[in-house]
Amino acid sequence: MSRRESTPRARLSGRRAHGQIVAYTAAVPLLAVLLISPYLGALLRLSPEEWHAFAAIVAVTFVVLVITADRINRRLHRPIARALDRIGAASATSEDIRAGFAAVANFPRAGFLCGCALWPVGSACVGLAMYAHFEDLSAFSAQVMFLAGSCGGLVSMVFFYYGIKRGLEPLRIELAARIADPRERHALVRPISIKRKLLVSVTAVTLLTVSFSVVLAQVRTARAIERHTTDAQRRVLARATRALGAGNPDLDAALGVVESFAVSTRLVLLDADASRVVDGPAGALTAGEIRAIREIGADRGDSTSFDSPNVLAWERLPRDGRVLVSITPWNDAWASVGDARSVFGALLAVSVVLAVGIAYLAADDVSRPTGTLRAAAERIASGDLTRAAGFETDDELGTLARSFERMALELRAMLGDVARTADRVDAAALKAAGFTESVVQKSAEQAEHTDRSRVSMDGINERAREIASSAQGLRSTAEMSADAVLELGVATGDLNESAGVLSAKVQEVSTSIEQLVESARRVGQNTEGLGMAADETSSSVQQMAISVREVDANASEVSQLARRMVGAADSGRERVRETIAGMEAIREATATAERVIRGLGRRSEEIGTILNVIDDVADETSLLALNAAIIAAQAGDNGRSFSVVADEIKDLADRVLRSTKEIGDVIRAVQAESSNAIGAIERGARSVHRGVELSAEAGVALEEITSAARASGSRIDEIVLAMRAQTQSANHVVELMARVNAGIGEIRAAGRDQDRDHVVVLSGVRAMHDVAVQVGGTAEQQSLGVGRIREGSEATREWVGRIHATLQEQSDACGRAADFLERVTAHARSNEESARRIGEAMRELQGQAERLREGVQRFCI
Amino acid sequence: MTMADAISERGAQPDWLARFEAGGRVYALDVRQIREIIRGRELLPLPGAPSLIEGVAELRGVVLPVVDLGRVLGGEPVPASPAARIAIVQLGELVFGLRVAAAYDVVPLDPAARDRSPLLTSRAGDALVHAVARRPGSPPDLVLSLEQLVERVYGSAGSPEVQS
Repeated sequence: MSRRESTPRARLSGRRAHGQIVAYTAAVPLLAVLLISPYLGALLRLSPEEWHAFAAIVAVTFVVLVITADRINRRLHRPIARALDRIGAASATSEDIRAGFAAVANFPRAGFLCGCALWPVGSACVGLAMYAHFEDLSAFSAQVMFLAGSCGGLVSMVFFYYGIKRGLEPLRIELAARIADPRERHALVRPISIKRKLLVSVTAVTLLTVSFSVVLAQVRTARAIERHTTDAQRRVLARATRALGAGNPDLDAALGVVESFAVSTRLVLLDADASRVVDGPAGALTAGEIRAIREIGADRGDSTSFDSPNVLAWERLPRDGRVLVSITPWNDAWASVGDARSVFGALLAVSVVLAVGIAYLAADDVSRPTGTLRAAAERIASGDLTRAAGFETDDELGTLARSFERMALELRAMLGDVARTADRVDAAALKAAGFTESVVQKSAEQAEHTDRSRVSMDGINERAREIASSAQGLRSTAEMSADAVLELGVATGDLNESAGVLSAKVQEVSTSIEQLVESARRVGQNTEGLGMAADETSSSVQQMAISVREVDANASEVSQLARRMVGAADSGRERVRETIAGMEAIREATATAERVIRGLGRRSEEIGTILNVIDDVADETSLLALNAAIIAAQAGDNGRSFSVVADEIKDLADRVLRSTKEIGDVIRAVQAESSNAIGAIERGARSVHRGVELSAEAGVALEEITSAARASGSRIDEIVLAMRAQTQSANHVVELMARVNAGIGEIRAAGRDQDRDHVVVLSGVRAMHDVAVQVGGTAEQQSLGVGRIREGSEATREWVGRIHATLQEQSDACGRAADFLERVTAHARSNEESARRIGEAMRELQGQAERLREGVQRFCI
Repeated sequence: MTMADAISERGAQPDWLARFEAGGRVYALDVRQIREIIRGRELLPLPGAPSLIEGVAELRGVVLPVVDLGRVLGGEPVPASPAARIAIVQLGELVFGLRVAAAYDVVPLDPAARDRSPLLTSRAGDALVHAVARRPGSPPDLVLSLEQLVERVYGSAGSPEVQS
């Protein structure tokens, strides 16, 4: 059992645990038997013969029952040894450990119950064996043996329970550490409440002490009654002897004499050998009693020295040597003092009820707060921090409850901080998500506008192609007209016709060109709408980027806050450590100061002793000087020189006395000051000690804060990383939008070029139209000359070539615009996707903030 | 004025007084009646002695009766203290101790300064103080009559010689 030597390896040895339990099983009952047996023997006044038998029976019963108990216990604690051995061999399964833990946790209770069953059995065996072996042993003695054995056994088993429980504690803790789940452990342990433990313990002790007191009182009372009855019987015998000696040979006559006594007694005459009854009722005396009378001596005697069913006194008749015996049954003797036995019984019952009542109250005082505390701890575990432990008491449980309350308060404050941070992150993310929504919408609108522009552009292209084919037709017509002019001389009639066709064609071209201009205007309008949508998108994206940056800044700030909190807690812990070190130094310094001051006090006491000696000598000197002065005065003139010396000596002595008195005052002041100083130092030392304790508590609290802050810091860092990614996406979007705007600018510029070209084309067409009209007019005036016609035809061809070139340019510009629109659409698509990605990141951020908030909401604060 | 000064100045034989304290007052005795002054010490009770005798003390093998001056003067007994003294006085053959609260010094007494008050001696045989010695700068000393003191202690009934 020596704890100092037990290494972990030794503790985990199954053999060692087994040996320990067996030693306990034998040692505790042995001690109990050694304490109870001598007391019982002395109480019941056993004769030496009975003593030997009693000791032998007790020894045999003890050995048999201890072996039985050991067999039963082995079955109960075998799983412990097995689990420990397998742990030692590193082959233990979780089943082994569970069985071992259940056995080690429940063994004290099982051993206790087993012992409680075996002790009454053993006591009954001893009582019955003694009663059967000695026929004159009273039933009362056998009952007392049973009662004492049972009660003493109960108390010894209480000791066994607490002793073995304490002895197995290291094993219990060791095995419990290998079962991680407290609920699983709880299912394995059979609970016993503190209330029940206290009740059983107090009841056992009370039963033992009260039953021993009652037995002792009854035995003492029985002795007193016996003496009292024997005295009365002696008087009866004396009267009866006188009556028989006076010539009344008849016992009945003697009985008549004794009727008047208060004690009810019967008379019996034995023969001179005291071997048989010669007169009186033959069954009144047992054979054992007659034998006892012979052994003690028939001349005169009484039954105070042996156990018998009756109280006896006898005397030999002087006349004929017969023995006259006075018999009083025990029940009659008891009756003379009333019903004492039932009073003892009632006393026993009342004492036991009182003790059990007090034990119940004490146990209730402990177990009720424990229940409340457990409920409070479970409330905190389930996250409910709203209420305190809910009670106050004057003992250690009160301190515990207050600690609980403080813990809940700290947790509540911390969780409040975390919840506020989560709320801020959530709000920022929500704002950013709103902007992202509007960006997605605007991007979609932009894509739609672009599509519509492209459709218009396609229409323009088609028109342009139609115009080109018309222009081609015009050109060939012009060529033909030129040829015709060359053949003017030949066919002037044809010319007229051709000029009509030309005029119709020109009209056609003019209409197409006007349609083209209209389409180009619509493109311009669409492009304006597109530019406006792109501007709106761009501003939305910029707003989004700003709020994303704001979220980023918030998260960074929170992260810095957490880092600063960790830093502050670390430095606080450092301060606490420094404070504790400083306080230790103060404590050492004060201890040194106290030692020095105590030394000073001792020294000043020594000085006081020396001063007393000096004082004494000075006093003596002063007295001598006075005596010298008296002698000198008596001597007159002759004493003159002597008197001078006497005066000087007296002065000297007086000065010494004054000095010693002053020194004494100073020393007393020093002693008072040093005792004040010691008091102050002790108070200071107590304060320092308290300070060290408080600092250590503060250190623990700071440690908790640091770990909580670290946890939240890493959470926030994740958020900051997510925000960085979002900021990048947002910047990308802004860049894309800038490029889209540039593209739109280009489209506008192209549109403006086109407009200018259209004006040129239109004026060309009008000019051509005029020429065609002129041609129409001139054709009728064929006479005006071929030269002018040819001239006009040339101009027409030239104009047609210019129109064709302009149309070519226009077609090119339309292709370029289509390319731009293609690129704008692609940009808008990628813009939309970026916005969607930002939205996802925002949702993720929101989800994280939500999770954080959920974690906090698990605690009800 | 110290004793040595007095001797040198006057040259004549003055009266010398030893001064004591008892019951808060200063008393004086003629030095010729004093043998020595010793420290106060434990007294052995003497059964059957006159009530004013506190007990006996041993001094160099001689047993002497001791009288408490405070009680003789009709006041409280002298308290036990380190300053307490016993003056060993002699009147004829009779030697006994006189317990006093403190012994001060020896002073000379000018016969002219001795004031014999008729009031003090009016009841002859009863006055313990038979003179008052006045000295400049200090309260007057009451000079005790040892004869009257012995008379008061032993009364007229007992002979002092028997007691010693």
